[in-house]
Amino acid sequence: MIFLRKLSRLSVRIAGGCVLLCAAAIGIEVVMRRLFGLSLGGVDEISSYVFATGVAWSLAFTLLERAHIRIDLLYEQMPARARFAADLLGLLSLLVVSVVLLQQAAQVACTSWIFGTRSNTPLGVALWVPQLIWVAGLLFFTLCQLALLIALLRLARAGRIAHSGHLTGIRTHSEETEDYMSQRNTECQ
Amino acid sequence: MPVVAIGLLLLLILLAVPVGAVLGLLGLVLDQVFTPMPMWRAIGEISWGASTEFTLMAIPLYILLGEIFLRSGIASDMYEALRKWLVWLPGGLMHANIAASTLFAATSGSSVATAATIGTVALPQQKKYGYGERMFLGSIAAGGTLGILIPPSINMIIYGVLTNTSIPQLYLAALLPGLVLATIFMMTIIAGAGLTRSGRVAERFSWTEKRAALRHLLPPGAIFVVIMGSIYAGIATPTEAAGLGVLAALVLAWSRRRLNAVLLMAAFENTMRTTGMIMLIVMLAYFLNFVLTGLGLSQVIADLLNGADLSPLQTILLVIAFYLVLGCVMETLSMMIATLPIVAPIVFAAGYDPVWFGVVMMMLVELAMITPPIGVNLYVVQGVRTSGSIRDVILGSMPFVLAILAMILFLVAMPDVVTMFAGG
Amino acid sequence: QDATLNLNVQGGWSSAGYYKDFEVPFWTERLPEVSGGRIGASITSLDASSLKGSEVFRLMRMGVIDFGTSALGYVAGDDPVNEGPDLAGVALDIETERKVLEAYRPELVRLYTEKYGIRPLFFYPAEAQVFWCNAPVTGLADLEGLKVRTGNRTVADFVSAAGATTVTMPFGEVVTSLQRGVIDCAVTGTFSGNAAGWAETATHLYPLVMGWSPFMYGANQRVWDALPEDVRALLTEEFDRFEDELWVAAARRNEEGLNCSTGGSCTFGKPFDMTLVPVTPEDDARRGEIVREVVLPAFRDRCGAACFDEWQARVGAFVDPS
Ligand code: NA
Ligand code: NA
Repeated sequence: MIFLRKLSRLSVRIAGGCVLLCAAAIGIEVVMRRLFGLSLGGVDEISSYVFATGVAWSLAFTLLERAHIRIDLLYEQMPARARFAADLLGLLSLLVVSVVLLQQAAQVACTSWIFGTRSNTPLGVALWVPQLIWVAGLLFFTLCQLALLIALLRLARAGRIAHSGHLTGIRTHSEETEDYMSQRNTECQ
Repeated sequence: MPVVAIGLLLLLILLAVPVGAVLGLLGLVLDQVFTPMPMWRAIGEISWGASTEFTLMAIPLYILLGEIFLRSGIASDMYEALRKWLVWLPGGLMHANIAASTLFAATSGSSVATAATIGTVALPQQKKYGYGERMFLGSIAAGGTLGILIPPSINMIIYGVLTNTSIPQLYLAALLPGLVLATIFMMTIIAGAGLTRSGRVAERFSWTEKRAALRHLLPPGAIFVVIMGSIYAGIATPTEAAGLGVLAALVLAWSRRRLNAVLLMAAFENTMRTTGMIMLIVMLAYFLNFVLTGLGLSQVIADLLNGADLSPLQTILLVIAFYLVLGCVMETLSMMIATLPIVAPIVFAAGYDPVWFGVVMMMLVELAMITPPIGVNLYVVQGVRTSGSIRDVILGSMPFVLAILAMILFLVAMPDVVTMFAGG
Repeated sequence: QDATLNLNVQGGWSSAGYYKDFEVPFWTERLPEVSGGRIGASITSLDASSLKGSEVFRLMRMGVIDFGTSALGYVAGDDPVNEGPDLAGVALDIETERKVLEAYRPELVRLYTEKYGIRPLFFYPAEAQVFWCNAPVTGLADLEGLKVRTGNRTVADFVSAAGATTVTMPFGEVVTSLQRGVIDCAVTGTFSGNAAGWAETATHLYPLVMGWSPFMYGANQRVWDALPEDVRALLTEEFDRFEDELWVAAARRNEEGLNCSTGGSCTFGKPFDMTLVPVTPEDDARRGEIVREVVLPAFRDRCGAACFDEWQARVGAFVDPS
């Protein structure tokens, strides 16, 4: 679990860095086009692959940070046992969807590989390459869900249902605040 | 089938299943139950298509921009400056909330980012000065919604993608209604403060102080000029402009000596966390829309509206009512993606301008963000608080719900207010 | 519906295509009528399904879509054979384009049958793909140094050979990008450009034909094979008629798009007053050169020698680029 958390943090840092690099490339493209009438060629296309793969690799971090949107209207009122059940239901639902998504995403990459599909642009990128990175991100997302599920079930077996909150619960208000306070601390560093 | 769909949607959402998973699961279940076609197998192609839409690259770019703003202290300086200028008004600090939201909205594409940022810098002030809590919270939640109406705007970009409408035209058209709505929010605050005889603070600042504070408004102003200027000078497309905005924000943070690895890493983490949150919903909302359309649900709705033989005015009022209700129970991005491909052609066929409807749509989305039970900005503001019930935020937002509704009806009555600016 | 057979159809774009005027009436009115109510269909547009168009044939292959249509150009990346009937600057009028598609049809049928498990039903064009410029263009030579938005690789080959910078951007961004000068020209269909209001912003229409954006209607092979034989016969007959109708409509829309945009007679398009730039004999000669020296070799590179020889034998014979 600790390893998965570290890996997920590393992946969003890389993804965020790539987004920043895209911004830089966009900046260069815009200036070159304006001043010299030249185009780097395909900045938009490469950016879209960075975006797709970056998102796929960020889903796990979002999950482990408990940041995928859940509506806590009833959840807030629930006793610990019901909360645990809701967490379990939420995780299982996500798992079903992710497995189907992962399987079909693999199908997409596989078809591109078999067909030898290239993007229909001057760049002509072999699509299976970005798609494979994308699928790997979705696989990582699914694995993290499985790890969470196992951890959750272990807690249940140990009779420590009330402790599931920090694994899969909805972020409480004080946690959010701590988050924002820590942001303000980085401001001062 | 619609009953099953909506029932299942609500049940899963209320059971706190992640919204993205609800959309995906709903698509899978409807496909299994109502058709022999293996529509679930489209989920891969559709997700890849949605996540490689270059236009959506604007989402992480705007979030990153906002993160740099917050972490380099630009946002709090801006808030402080506006406080000095506006605190004398009836309702005091709440005007600073709206003004700061407006200004921040001019650099941010997202309402959630706007509400979270302004909430973070404003809420400690409420404690300090002891304002009437409810309306204070409402002013942050409602002010935050301006994030998507005042350009730049992620939701407007998505609207443009879904309906093939020019994004720069949408931006231009939304600017004035955005400022008008901000003014209406302020009038709402003044009226509220008058009714409750509260929210006045005996705090005065000298002109020297006020003038000195003005320079803190320059950074957001500069970013706005970079983003909008590059679009209207013909240098960049809206998505490219978001990239330029990020670069400009980096330069500002660097000039304040705040740019360092710690800031960048924290900004990257939050940016991708929020992007992941949004895109899971976007991908699966595209998929759900594909299933709903394939099941013919869209056709049923379209036939119903076409068959009712409504006048254009009746059509648009019905559409507004539809989104008012749907907005209460649906997350806004999925609401747009799942319904616009059906609704927009009907509205356009009734003779309404796509740019005009884009602006109205943004206000309907704003409404949805602060109507209970599911209103993302209500949750964001509640999230920034340390204690208290969400009921305070909901009640505090109610006057602003009415304000937005009034604004929408005004636009229906006077469509020219939008279209006269869209032409240029 | 009482229809014994209900076909699921993924139609084309509702915004500028044939969707409302031709596809919906054909599938939901004419088929039930001619079959005496035996065949019915439900059809949705690409926009309503929020598809990009490029995934239609893949989804058909997987059995997600039974009957559907998409542009061959959208899937040119899956197999360059798709570019064969739509190479930039090759077929200059609609009669030639129809001959090209007829001649090349066996190749496409082979591709879709073998690679996708799709039964091609019929082919039809959008309209002539031409240049819409917000710059005082007087001929091909003037494209040099301009920024031109292109939608596929073969047009990009042609345009860069003409000395222009190729830019890719979403269709919806084109009008304002033209207006603001982010780009100088964009290539799209004569009628779809008119319908999307490009003529309002663009000042010069240069009708050098960059292709016809051919579409294909296809069916999942298993779905098709499972239909009763008499139904298949009836459908084939109706498809032939529908195909002819669409070609006639395309010719009309093509002229209408050209005339309406440039101040000519206009019946169902939007009237505008763009300058129609004549294609001079010199331009045509230069076009032939570019096709021979750049477009065809680039196609050969992507498609391979065998594929290119096949193209030469079937199509090259009667479209002499010189
Ligand atoms: Na904004
Ligand atoms: Na709501």
